[in-house]
Amino acid sequence: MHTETEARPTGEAGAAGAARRKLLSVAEHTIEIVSDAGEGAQKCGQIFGAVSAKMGNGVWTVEIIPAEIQPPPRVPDGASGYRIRIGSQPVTNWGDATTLAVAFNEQVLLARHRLDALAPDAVLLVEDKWATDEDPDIRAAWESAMAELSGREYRIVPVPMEQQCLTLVDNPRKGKNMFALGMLAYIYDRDMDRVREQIAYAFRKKSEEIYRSNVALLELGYAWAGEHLDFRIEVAPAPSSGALVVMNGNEALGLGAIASGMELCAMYPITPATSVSHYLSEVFERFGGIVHQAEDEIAAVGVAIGASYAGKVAFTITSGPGLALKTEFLGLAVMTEMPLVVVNVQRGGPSTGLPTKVEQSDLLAALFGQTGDAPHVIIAPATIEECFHVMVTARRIAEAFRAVVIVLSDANLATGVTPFARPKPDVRWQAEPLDLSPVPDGQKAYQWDPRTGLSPRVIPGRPGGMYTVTGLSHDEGSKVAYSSGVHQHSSAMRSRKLAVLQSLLSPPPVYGESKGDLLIVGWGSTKGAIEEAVDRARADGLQVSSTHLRFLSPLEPGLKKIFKRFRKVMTVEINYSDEPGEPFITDENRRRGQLSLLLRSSTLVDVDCWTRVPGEPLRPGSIVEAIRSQLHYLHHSPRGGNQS
Amino acid sequence: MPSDPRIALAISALAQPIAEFRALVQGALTQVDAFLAAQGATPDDEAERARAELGAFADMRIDAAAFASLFPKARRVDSDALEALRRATAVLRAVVARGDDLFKVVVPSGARLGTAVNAALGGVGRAFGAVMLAEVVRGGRYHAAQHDRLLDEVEFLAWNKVERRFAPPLIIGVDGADLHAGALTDFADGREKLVLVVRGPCGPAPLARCITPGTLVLQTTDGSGLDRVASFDGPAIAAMLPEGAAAFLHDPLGGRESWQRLTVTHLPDAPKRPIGGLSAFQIGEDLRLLGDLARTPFAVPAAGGAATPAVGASDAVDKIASWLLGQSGLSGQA
Repeated sequence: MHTETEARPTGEAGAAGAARRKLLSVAEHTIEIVSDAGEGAQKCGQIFGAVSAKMGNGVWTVEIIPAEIQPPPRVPDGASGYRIRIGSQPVTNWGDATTLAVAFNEQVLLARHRLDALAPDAVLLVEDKWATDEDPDIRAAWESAMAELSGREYRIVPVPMEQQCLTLVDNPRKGKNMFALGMLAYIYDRDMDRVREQIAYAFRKKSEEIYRSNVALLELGYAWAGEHLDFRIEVAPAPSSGALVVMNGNEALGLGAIASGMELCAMYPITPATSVSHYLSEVFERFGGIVHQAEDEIAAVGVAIGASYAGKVAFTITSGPGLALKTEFLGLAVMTEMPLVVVNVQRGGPSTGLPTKVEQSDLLAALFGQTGDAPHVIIAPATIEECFHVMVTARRIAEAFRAVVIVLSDANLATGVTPFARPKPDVRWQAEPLDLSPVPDGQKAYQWDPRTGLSPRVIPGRPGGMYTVTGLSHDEGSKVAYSSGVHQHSSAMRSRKLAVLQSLLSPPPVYGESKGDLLIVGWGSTKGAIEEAVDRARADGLQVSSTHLRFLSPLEPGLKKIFKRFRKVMTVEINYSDEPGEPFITDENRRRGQLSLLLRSSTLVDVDCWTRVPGEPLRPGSIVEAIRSQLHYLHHSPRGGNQS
Repeated sequence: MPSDPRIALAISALAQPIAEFRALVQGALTQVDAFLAAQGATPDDEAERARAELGAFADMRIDAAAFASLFPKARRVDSDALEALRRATAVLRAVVARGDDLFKVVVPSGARLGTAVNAALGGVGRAFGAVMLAEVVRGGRYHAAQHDRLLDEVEFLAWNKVERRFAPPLIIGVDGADLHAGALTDFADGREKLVLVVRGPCGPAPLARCITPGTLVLQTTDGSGLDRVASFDGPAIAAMLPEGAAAFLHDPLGGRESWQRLTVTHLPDAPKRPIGGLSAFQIGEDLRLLGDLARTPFAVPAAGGAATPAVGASDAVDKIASWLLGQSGLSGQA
């Protein structure tokens, strides 16, 4: 560790200082801003990320959120912040480790250190007021933290953030984040006009005075860094690829809902899904839509089903615990064949679990959570861009198949921000007007095609279209019927639709060579990290490829054929599985990753898994290690392959 | 008037609501065109339509041709309905073809302002009827006797709630002498935006009488504040007036009380002579109304507890009230 014990004299600013300043040109850099909750580190990171994206860098951001809403100050577990990975190429995941961090106190920095989030040679800009605090306990904590950090080759730069901010504002707790933003803007040579614009946008609901105060703090941080730091970092922009938009996954889901012609979002607030409705509540009405906040999760899905019955295009959004509450109504929607889109932004579970953290643990709950046989569609977007486009596809499938479509997003996609190609809206994404012409004589409410199970939708109000909607088992005319033949037939018709949908799907493409030693299978937000890991492994000569599934019910076809071309198949997922070799764990009782379990049952291939539930996105480096471990086992065990 | 640079300024400031109205009309037109084209669609056309409907996420993942073969083609409609749809299309195309002129009205000297605005909105509003007619035809519900009237001009007062939400903004050139602003309040609903570009002399506060709690009202001499008119999620009436006129902004989001919502940046003296058909008394009433609405009801206590004189608290009762409230600590904020 190298600690700069005192700031450079201001005389080093200007031409002489600049001449001694190092300019480090890198292909990518990962930045974190960490603070106690409520100190605005996330706002700082969001603005820096947005500006970097607008300046042409590839960007991926991740929120660092404490488990508690208001944890006590200066405790490692209370670290709140933002990681921004910027690059000269598109960035698809949060990477492995932070190379430059700004910390508002040493305890939150310690938290990141202990989580192994910091690169061994990271530059750490840390508020230095705690070193000389009048409270001896705080001074001791500082000393202790510095001692612990000294085990690495970090370069620690003390920064008098509070002292500087006090020259402009009375409460530096409300201004340090803009000072930090100024420092980052200097270090990475951000366009200050764009930064000011982004501040204006971020504080658009606040007064002009607040904007000016923030800009003054920004400029103070920029000037301070210019005078006192002896380095700058250049990350060239990515090659231009046309018009881009910058947003997070929840905004993309909301915008996609608008673009697809959805008319009603019925929801009950739950982290990390709520921000979809926050976004929609600001703009949805302008497009003829409504956000309905119901009294609870069950009512929310009930409202969506009711609106769908009336002919509207409705969706509901939730997260794990909310999905559990909606279970009964999802069964009703399946039984009554109401088109319905359910967005589940997954978080850690079970129960309240990890409300703010990413996990992919709802796959089996989404698939099998309903009572009885309730076949429905599950789609998982893999990128923030796909969060936008998936809503169009989900709506169309829901309506065409009279089906429930569950869209499985997650907290990584929900809060991550990245630039992507500006969508070109097409009015054909939106629903055709309702068919309100008289129902042809003899047509029934569920006029199932005996081959496909598909039936035309009947909307209330159509002459001749009256029928009773019921969750009881019913026949084609929606008449309650308890005979075994009717239930058998109607179950077959509802199930057949999934087989028909699968018949329309294409096998998933393989990333890398189409055959080899190891195939990684992923789903959801892990795509970027998996593919980066595959690239690194292949660069080291390892015969590894990957495929990423979007359709999880029905599964994309041709998987068994693809799997057969590899010696070993392994899923990589953010959910829990038992580790082989742990006490009591046998091949027979081992609980496996959720996709792994699904693939094993549907392909009869011995699909292995590597899963983790760290409460954060997977790191490409960790996946590379898992790949090496698997291949080592494969090459040193006569029975290592699943095809043996 | 057409070369008045203030028109271009207003068009620019209202770009967002103008774009929203255009998107509504253009979107409807595109949907109708697609529906008409689908009447004679080939399997390839159907596949292309399915591909578009399924969106980019389905590209390379869902066989669009197979998808199209599973579901009914576009609804077939009879020749009368098709003819009605073509008439609706013609109206929508005519609206689109007018470009920026769609959003401009010039009130001839001596003509009534309200009548001119009503006529302009009635013409533009045919687009709503055309959209509705197209929806009816595409939904299979068309009956000539009932639905052909949808293409008639309909005055604003007969517009429904949704139409008023999507109402097109209007920029209105008018002589100051003809500016009788009371006529404009009929249009203050939904998200209608009216921006008056005033020619020649006029009263100093003609829009004072338009101030109601939920309507944004702006008087400006240089165009400042028009961005707020464009972004306000409700009805707005604005006027770009000659130099010397009162300048104020009444923003409904400013607070519950009128003095919280109203910011007067310039309040001239009342003219002594009549302007147009308005007497000096009537013009003076506009200014007095503005002053009354902007008056802070009580004072902000100064440091040490003594009340400072309230803005506009010119009479004895106001002063006593200010002092009492200042002493009691119940004073509000200026």
